[in-house]
Amino acid sequence: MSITGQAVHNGIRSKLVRIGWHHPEWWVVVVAAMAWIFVAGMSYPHVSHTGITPGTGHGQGTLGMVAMVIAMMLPLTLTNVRHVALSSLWRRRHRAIATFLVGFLAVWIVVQTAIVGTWELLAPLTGWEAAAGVAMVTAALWEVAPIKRQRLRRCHRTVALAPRGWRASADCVRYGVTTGFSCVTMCWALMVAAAAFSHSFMVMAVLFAVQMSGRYQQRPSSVLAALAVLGVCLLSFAARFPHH
Amino acid sequence: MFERRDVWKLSEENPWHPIIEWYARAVTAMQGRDLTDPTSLRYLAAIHGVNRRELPRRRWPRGATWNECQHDSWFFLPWHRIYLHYFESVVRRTIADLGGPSDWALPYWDYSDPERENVRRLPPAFRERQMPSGDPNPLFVSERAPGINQGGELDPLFVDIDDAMAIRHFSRPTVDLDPDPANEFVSSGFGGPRSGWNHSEGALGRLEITPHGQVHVGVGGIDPPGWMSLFETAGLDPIFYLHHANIDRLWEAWLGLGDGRKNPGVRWRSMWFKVGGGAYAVTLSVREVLDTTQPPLTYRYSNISVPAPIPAPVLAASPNPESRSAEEEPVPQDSFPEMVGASEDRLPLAATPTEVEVAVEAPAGPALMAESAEGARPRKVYLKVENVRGEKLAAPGYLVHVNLPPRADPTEYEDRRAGQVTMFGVREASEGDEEHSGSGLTFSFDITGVVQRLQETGEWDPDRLRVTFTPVGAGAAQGGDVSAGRVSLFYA
Repeated sequence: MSITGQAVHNGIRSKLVRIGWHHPEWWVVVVAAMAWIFVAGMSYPHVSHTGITPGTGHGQGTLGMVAMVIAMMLPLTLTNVRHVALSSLWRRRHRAIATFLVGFLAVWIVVQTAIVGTWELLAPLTGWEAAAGVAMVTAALWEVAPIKRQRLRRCHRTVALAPRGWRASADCVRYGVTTGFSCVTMCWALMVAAAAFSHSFMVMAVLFAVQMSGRYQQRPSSVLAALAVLGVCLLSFAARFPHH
Repeated sequence: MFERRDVWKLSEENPWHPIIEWYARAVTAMQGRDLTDPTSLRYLAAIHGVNRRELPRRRWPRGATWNECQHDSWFFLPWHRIYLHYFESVVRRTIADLGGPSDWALPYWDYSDPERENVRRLPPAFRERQMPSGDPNPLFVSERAPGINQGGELDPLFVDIDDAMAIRHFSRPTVDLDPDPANEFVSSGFGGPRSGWNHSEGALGRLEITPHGQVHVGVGGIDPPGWMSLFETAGLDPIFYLHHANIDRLWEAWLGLGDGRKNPGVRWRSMWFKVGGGAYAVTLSVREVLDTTQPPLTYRYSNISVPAPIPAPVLAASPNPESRSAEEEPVPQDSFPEMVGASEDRLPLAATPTEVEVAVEAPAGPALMAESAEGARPRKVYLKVENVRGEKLAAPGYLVHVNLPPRADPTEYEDRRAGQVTMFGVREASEGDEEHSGSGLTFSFDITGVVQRLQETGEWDPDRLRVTFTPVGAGAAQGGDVSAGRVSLFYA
């Protein structure tokens, strides 16, 4: 390698190292991105020439369900992930992230299993349209409910972590579980809607954007969020019944 | 142009200077107004904070922007500036309606000048039960710390502005789009850490700790907490607004010091806040309140001079013997803070000194690389006191010292002082409600200078750190339940 090439190589390497220092959460972003690609790929076969086939989309498969949880929920917890990583000894920081995520995802996978199970029981009884309509309205109302703001604050909670040994790992798992519960109490309505419209990549993407906005914007608008939920779900309904 | 003047200078001219007397008369009128009136003192106080258990949201007036004060955030200073503007407008209009001058401006309480006698006492008009007319004095509040209404002085440490003024970055050191988050993590800067809307929790900027928080609890007391000591009642004490006018003045003074001191960029400036109700309500962005001499604010301070700060050290440089703990310079651009040790258990912050030992590991990441590259020790050292939570305070605040000898008098070891921890806001930040996650407060200190001096005298142990919390201020009480989640050490 020429001297110039070596310098470029070293420059890139140095930049990557710095990104790794500053953003220990990088691999969580990569995992979430891969989950989105998986979810998008799973959505494709369900689009027919007449529109979108509702009901038994990819969300109901275990793999699809886990992918949906990872895609939609991991990005919401990046600040918690950073807190865990930067509050840990250097040699432990990726282990700390992993143990945190074990707790966080365990909560969400149990909850999402319950949501999907309940959905599969109820939707055939009431009809998909009625059940999805209720899910849509509930999600929109939840966005403007004052209690949601309280739940959102809980997601910002930080805790003191033990620095080393099994107590450090236990603290990370415990923090993952409590953050998972906080996240569930904030996002349950949107995740029910996501399960109801899981055939539609567009709905999932918009619901994800609403969640991200609520979590990270300086001053999120609850009314805009509710309108976005209603709008995209109604669009999905329209696509479902193109001749009506 | 309105001029905000020094209340102690006014008091020296006349304890009941017309500016003070008209303020009192306006406060009397505002106290008589209904809670739902946006110009009542109770409504104004509720904007800053309200007790949700006594007054849940469903009972608030329509559109009320209550419980909105921004703390532990880079919006601490601009939000309070907007809030003071609203308050001042209401008082000015009230005074005009009472037949007073139309150019009244809020005085400020400069308690920090060590050259002036008395300034650490409440101004006389705030301590007298009656006005010269014989009417009850609305500026007098009995819910204050013991002795403060008798002319007791605030602890000199509570009004120390040197540490805050020495910091050169507001919230982070460079342009707003700088992707480097290192400084946010270990250093909250002069004005507070980057955040979204944040009522109270997380890390505090240095000005918000001292003098802001310490003066709050110094005036309000802790057992029981007086009005100034709680978010929900602070705005009921008329001295509150003079205290915050001084904090606002110190922001101007800090900018005036130059040497790289500047306000943050676009993201911070774009945030907006609505304060107040009715015809007086104001909705202003941060950008609109950065120049106080321009509309809508149109005021200036009679004096914004402060002593020049001492430059901050780095470990590679030789120590400055005059420097006690000039603080909080940015993390070096080619480094990143690395945690090298933390305490194992929660640490009670009690009425007596508390000590904790932290086992320190050798750096394994960026700090190690910086060390080997320069053949020197890490260039910056930070101490964090994390997740301070509790409901009942045992002291107004604490001095934090590093490697204090056993049973030593901390006042004799100023060169080992990391900083101060204030209890103002701890109770609120410990709650889990619509405004708080329950994380408590976090304090970060640049202790590079302290470590440098310890190294010079051979008293720095790279494997072990001892941190002592000493109660400071009058009124320490047994039975408090406040504790720190942990104490941690970072190298960069």
